[in-house]
Amino acid sequence: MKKFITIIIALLTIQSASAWSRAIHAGIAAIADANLTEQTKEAISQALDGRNIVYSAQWMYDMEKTKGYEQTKNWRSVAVAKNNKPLNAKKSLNHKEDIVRRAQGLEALAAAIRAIEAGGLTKEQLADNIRYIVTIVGDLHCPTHYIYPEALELRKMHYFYNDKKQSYTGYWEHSSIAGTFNWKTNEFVHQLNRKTPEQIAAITKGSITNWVTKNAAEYRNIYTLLESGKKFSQKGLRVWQNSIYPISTEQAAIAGYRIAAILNGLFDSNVANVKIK
Amino acid sequence: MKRFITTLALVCIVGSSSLCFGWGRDAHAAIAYIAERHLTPTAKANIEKCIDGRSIVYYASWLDNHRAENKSWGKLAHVAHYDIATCEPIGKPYKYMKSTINKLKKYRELPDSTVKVSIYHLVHSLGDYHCPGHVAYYDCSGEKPKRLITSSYDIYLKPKKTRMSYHKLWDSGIVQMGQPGWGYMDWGHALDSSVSQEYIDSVTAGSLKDWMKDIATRTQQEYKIYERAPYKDSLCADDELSVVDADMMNDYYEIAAKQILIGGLRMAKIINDIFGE
Repeated sequence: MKKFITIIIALLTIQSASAWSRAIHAGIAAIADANLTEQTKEAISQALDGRNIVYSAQWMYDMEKTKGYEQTKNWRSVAVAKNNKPLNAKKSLNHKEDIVRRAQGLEALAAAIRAIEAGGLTKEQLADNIRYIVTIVGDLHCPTHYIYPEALELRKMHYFYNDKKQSYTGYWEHSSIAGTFNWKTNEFVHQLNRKTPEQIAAITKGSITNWVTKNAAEYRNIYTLLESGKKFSQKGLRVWQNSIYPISTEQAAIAGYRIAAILNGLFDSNVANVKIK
Repeated sequence: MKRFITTLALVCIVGSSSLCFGWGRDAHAAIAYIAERHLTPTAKANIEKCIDGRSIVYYASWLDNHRAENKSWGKLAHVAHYDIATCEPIGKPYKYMKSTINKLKKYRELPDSTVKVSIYHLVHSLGDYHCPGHVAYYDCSGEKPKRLITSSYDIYLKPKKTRMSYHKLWDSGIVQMGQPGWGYMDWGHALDSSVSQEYIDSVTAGSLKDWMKDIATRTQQEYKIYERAPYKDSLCADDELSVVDADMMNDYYEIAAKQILIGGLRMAKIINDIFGE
């Protein structure tokens, strides 16, 4: 009985401990897919047995319990210093806090990109690395996937609704979009894939490290949007959510364009590579 | 043990839906999407220019989400009022919608913020007026109209073995229970793939007043929604309430689907007339 209850509770909480929800990852991947060049699409289709990247949007999470893929559970977040620059791998791996040691998303992303650039991969290895890019870049645009070692207490922020304690990070990962829109995969594309070429160029300008640094600075602001421990009425919750969904939907769109920029750089000879640093 | 699992399941369902607003969201998005499918390229471009390049679907439930933030937005009523003897629209909802449409006819001369809120009102409330649960009848024979019938009472929903507000059943129940996995694009595809021009012409003929009269007449005389589930005092026990059974629910799905399509086609007509030049 005890074991059963533990399993049920684990199943109930597992999502809030993970990442952007499955729907958001799929939506982000669909925006990316809509922005791939024909040459990139063709190369990816060959690597993924005719499927597109949307199918694999959360594959990395599905695989983390599979032998050989256990390390991927540490690839969901990134730790940054006070100046918002990513901590180097050595510094973060030796950190006393487990959550910082596990924040290896940027390193994993860089490794996946370098592996594809270097070539010589088996079809399976190529497919794995494409899927890593899709999932990790998605997660690196979820504000709660940024770990600020000097302010780890932010991760304990919470609020109450209907007398139930709710985690703020969990809210971002699931309800920051679903609390306002019931979008399915292609509906993310319909709603968010609306940037002009100039806007896309601005979004994808710079290196991945620049993106992460800029995100890290911007995402600190989300912790000013909630007074931890606040008790919300239905009306209060709605008004509060209205301050969040414009940010989360924008980040989903940006993630989609940036995934496409990375993949187009890797697979289309006419497109410049996105630099890691 | 069984009770524990049931309780846990209920907690799960309530927990996951506590931040959602149901039909509102799905049916409103479906209506706006159907409308968008019928916009002329000029009308679509012009209206989207007024709402920061977004789709009208993005704003289909904006009024529900944001009405608590501003008194004047809250006043833009969502339930339409009718004289029970003639089924003609009366009161503020009709007056406000007429005023919004007239305002939008001069959209090029108005401040951006006025145009935006007027569009949000149009794309939301016109949808609401097509929901049979948003139809309230008044006795207008006296000095002041006296409210006779609204959907604000409880019924017993047999398929779910639960009591619920008849209004909520129309608002959030029917669409979600009818097609629980569908997004607005699914609704658009299912309802609007082979609609004839003759049908479009027939449902979009006439004025806003004619359309609203048509909705009130059909709700009362053709759909007979208040006859099927008559008002019973909400204090009465479950087994004394009016029952909505599975057969009635099937009819209701049909009514809802028909109203969603008609609502979308009429919304497109208004937008094309205003923004098509």
